Amino acid sequence: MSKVIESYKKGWQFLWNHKSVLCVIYIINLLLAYLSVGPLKNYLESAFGSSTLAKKLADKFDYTIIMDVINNYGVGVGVSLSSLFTFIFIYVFWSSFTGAGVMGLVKKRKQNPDDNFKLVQFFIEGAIYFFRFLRVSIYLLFTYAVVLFLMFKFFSKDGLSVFEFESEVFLINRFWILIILFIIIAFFGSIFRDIARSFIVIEDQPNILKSNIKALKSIVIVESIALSLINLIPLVIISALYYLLRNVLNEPFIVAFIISQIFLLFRIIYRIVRCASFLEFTD
Amino acid sequence: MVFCLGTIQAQQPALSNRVANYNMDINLDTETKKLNCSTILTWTNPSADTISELYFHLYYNAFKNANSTFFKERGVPDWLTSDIDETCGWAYSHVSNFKDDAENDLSASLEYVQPDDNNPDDQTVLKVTLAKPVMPYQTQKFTFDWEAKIPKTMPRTGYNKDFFFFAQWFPKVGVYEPAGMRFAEEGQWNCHQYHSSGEYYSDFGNYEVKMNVPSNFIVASSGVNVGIEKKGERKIWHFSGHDIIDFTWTCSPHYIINEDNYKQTNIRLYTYSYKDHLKERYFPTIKFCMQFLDEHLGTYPYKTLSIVDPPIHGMFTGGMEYPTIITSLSFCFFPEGIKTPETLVVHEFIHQYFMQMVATHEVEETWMDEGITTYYEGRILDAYMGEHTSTIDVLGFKCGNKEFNRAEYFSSDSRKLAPNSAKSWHYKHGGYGDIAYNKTALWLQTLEGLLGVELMDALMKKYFQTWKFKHPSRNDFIAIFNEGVKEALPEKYPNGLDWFFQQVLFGTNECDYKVKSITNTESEAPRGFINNLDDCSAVAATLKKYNSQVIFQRDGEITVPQNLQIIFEDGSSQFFSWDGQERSFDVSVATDLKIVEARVDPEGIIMMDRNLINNYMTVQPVSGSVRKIVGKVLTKMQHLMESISLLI
Ligand SMILES: [Zn+2]
Repeated sequence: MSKVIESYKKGWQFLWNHKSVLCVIYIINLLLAYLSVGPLKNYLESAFGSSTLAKKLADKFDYTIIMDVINNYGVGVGVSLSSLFTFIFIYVFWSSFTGAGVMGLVKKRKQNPDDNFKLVQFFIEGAIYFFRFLRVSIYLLFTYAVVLFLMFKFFSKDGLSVFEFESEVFLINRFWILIILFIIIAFFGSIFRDIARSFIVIEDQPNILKSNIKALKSIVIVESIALSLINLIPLVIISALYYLLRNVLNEPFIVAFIISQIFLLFRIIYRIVRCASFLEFTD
Repeated sequence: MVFCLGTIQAQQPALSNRVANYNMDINLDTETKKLNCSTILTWTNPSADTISELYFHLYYNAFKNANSTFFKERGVPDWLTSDIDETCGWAYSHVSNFKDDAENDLSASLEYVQPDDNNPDDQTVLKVTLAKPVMPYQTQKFTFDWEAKIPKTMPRTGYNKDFFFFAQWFPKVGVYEPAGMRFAEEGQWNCHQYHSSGEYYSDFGNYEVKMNVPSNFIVASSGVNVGIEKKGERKIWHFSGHDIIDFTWTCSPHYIINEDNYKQTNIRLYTYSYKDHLKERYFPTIKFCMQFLDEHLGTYPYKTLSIVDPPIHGMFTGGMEYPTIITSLSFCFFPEGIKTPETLVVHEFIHQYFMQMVATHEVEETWMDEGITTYYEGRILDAYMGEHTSTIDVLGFKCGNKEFNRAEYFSSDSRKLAPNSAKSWHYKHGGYGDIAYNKTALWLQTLEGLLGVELMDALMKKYFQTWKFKHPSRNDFIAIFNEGVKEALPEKYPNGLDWFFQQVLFGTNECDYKVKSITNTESEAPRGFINNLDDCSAVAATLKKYNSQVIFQRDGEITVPQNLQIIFEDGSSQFFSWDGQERSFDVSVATDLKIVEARVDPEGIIMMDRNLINNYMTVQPVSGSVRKIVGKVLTKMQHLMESISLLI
């Protein structure tokens, strides 16, 4: 278990020594999000023109105003939403790249601890492992799709015709069981992903099958689960605090924005520390 | 053995003219899904005419086969009838042994007629030719037997598993309209076929109904339960309903009953055990609603109100109104923020006033029933649960009842398919819900805005009090409002409100006013010959700094008087009125302060205005506000992207 704690500590050390990586990931997140809302901004500016109702909507959610915008200036909504989805897709690629960059960098730094760190190394390492990482992500995505399909089959095994049901209670129970099951599967899925990625970086083989098989064997090891949990616990606590704060405070927009950015930064930190600690652990 | 539940209804003074009175003995066969019934109809001729025919609704024949008008109008969605053939979910209603009080057997005269569409396959209206006419204002008794096969999961009625719901189910006599009543120029029967939309129009009367059901079944019904008699494996439930226009009942072995009271009314909630917790939502809501209507319109005079929340396999009966019994619709997992149960009980209870007590014709004038109900639904729910939270309040998504219905109306592309005055079956290609419900609610809200809520309430109360236990038409509604405004607002509306009703009831036009532009031009000294012909040089004059102008525009076809507001840079305001007739209207002022903002309808009283965004204009840029809105979306997007990358 000491290896788990040691790996976790090293994950934080890595973050501390490579703060610029955190900055890059955050800035790219912000940039992509900014670009994604561009069409929405143009659309809203043209819809509101110079209507003071824009201010009312800015202050709080207002269904009437939103629906009047959609009903009277509707065409832009679809365009704006499709742009959001496009950027989500791009970000999935970017997150594979950042995982590759972080893990590659951890390995590089372990091999040459005295070299000066240059940010470009993060991008080089990211490029080296990106496609292999992406393949892991695609396998995982495919697995989740199969799991969800099976879950749906289970959920609807007695049909979905409401008139056949005695009551909806069993549907709800089934739904919650499946949600919990999916969370467990996603938990082990993420352990698999991070260990598989670690093996890919450590062994640096073009074929990732061996890494995946080794990772599959490692996901039920207590230490892997412990490392994943140690990483997750602070995230869960901070998420809970964030949602609590958001509900309790009726803060002005700028304060809300800053709190949200701090929370986002922490989520990125979680991802970096997790990647680094899993590589340390697997190595 | 006979024992009584509650008190037997004391003989009350009649609230209505009690034209159609029924005594029914019903036997329910839960195995064959059949009803057998013997009926005594005591019918009074309400006119000076001699009546030699009776007309009856046989609603269950709408489900006899796919050739009925109801089916042809696509009244039965496919998802309701996916197993209709394999389970033989079809139904019928068959009348036999029809006799008058002289024991004349009239069965041979029974004939199906189709007054609306000449569809020969439609058997939802039965004509009986009388051997002994009913003389003016005289009463005659008729007896008949009647057998029905109960439909399976049809709209509003039928059975599924061991849940039974009987709505629009018994042979119900039509309404004889004497000359001068509603639109009748001479005495006439009003008995439409059963159409896919709209049901109600019947005469008031008393109902004495005995239901013979298996002993483990619990019955909920219109009227008051005055006794239960046990007979072997069966029980006979006796219900008595006075001064009501229809009679509906339901039974199931699984009902549990919760009770509460509002004044003299015993409220009973019939539901299944896994939904028992919803009583905490139903009772406070219904009591608030009853109090609101009590104060605003008049007292609910009946001793009972039954609320049925059907099980999931009985949801085809949910969200309906019947005399003294209403149905809701819920799922046991509904969070508090989804206000469907509250919305439905409020809506359906309002129908006790509009369609049941004020017995309008839902088929011919749907808006007087569903539209007025939707208007009060908005008022009551917004008052009870907040104007931005009374429909949904979940995870930051908030929406009030009035705003939900308004948005639903303006989102519909069927909203101009017919005027409000259309009959229910004329909404052939859609628009029924949008127009009959939501459009009416919108223009009633607008009327409330124009008249002020106090006058609106006073006139609605007058309408209710004048027409309760009667059959008004739109002309009666309009007359109450015309007289009322001429009296209360003679200067504002000297000719009444015909101009308003003409537009909203009989037309499909829409309303949209906007602020077109604001200009602040710096004043210039007058030039040319001003004071005399000897000197054309500029004269010194006391000038205001700006000549400012705001142009207002009417983009819609509907015209409504508008209040206008202009706001100066120091925050002060000036108000103007515009009759709203012309296509555009300007307000020009000489001022030392720039106009920074202009509003048409600043109080937001014209809720039928299609676009509220353009009612408000400022000369200051709104980009800061847009940035703030976009900023909120941006942070959500940031977190969403990060969440997805967490998973894969
Ligand atoms: Zn209704």
